[in-house]
Amino acid sequence: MNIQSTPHFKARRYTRLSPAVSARCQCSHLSAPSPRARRSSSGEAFIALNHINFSTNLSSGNFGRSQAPVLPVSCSSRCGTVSSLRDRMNLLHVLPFTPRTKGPAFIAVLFALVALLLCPTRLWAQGATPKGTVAPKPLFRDPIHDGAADPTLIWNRARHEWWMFYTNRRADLATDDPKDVAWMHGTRIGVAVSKDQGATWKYRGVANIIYGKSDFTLWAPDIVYWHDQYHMFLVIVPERSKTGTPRVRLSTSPAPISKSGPTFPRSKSAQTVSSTRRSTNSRTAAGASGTRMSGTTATSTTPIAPISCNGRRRALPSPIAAAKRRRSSVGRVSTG
Amino acid sequence: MITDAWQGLGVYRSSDLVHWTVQPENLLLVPRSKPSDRTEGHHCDVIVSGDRAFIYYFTHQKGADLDPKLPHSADRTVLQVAELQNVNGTLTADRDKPAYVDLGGK
Repeated sequence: MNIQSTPHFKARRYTRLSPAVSARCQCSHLSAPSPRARRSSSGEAFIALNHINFSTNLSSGNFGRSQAPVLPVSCSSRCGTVSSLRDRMNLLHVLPFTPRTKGPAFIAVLFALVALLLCPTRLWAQGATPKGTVAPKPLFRDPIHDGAADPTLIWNRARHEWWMFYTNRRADLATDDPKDVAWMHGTRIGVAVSKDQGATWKYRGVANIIYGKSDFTLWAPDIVYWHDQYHMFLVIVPERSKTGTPRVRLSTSPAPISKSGPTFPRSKSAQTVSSTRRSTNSRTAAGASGTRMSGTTATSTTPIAPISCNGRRRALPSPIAAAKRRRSSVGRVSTG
Repeated sequence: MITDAWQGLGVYRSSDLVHWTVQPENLLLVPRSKPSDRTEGHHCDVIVSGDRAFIYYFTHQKGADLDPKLPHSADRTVLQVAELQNVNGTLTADRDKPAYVDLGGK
């Protein structure tokens, strides 16, 4: 994800808010963000969330299993042995499937797999097995520092994916000294993405949130979607030590974008700072069915060059490249 | 509202967001049996999907989950998920049961 200077969003300070309070109602239109940041006149910088596509016309899009088609009757009868098949599949969760198995049992398992592929998942909701995919245990380990904590989930409306942000504690740097808490400080915010409605997750990188010095501690994000914008609550410890005073910052995404697809807030300088492993520049998710939102007036735009979290440049994704071509006379691509 | 009580997760209910009643039983406090998820749950997020709700939390790899092969295993934390249930008015999460997760799309 890209961080870019932009004067567009508001950042307010909340000192009494407890970040540990993480229960919240699920908004009906959640979307994950691409954080952006700006620096205020006082030199502070805040993350904001960008690249949001809005589409309230749910019927026009594929939104996963919540929009699963009703099972045709013919399929129900065709899968009349589903109870026994489901029992077999339950066994598969316990017993490792080995292709060396031969004979009737092997054939039955194959038949069960084929039957499962043919039958929509809604069929399972009619039985005892809950709808969904069995989540692994543990659900997720941070592959770099092995200290994932404080998860918060948000629906990425632009990419139609669930995204998760978490405190990226650097447990791999812990020492034998119990008073040494340096590994708990200077933490970034990790990002993981799920393509199966929250059951399995893949590491995406870290969100480079620019605030103060680069080694400021970032803890316990929470992101909510409210009134067409994303809002991130984030604990920031200015000093990389346990003596620093934690603060909670609220950062708000820019105004929603228009139905014409992804556009970008105005920017006087295209100072891309960093990004996660992949660009989160979104595709035109809403497309022609997108709903016009009020206040979508980002016109003078600057494309953002995605940069990998490892410092490797990536090619501009097509929407960005198209935007660059269209607006080559307006903005300039940053070099990061 | 669910908070990290460092003794499981505290559950509070309110009808006006001002006055809160705490549930006597904390969530994810009792040690369970599944590897990597045998200690108390910490700092969570809850996603409501239709008439179901899922709690995402993290656990330390200590106690029964201490991995001698990893340096400072007790400091390592992993993420977990469980489905929330309303059992006679008490919010519970049985993390020993397989979690069939479907957050849907919004």
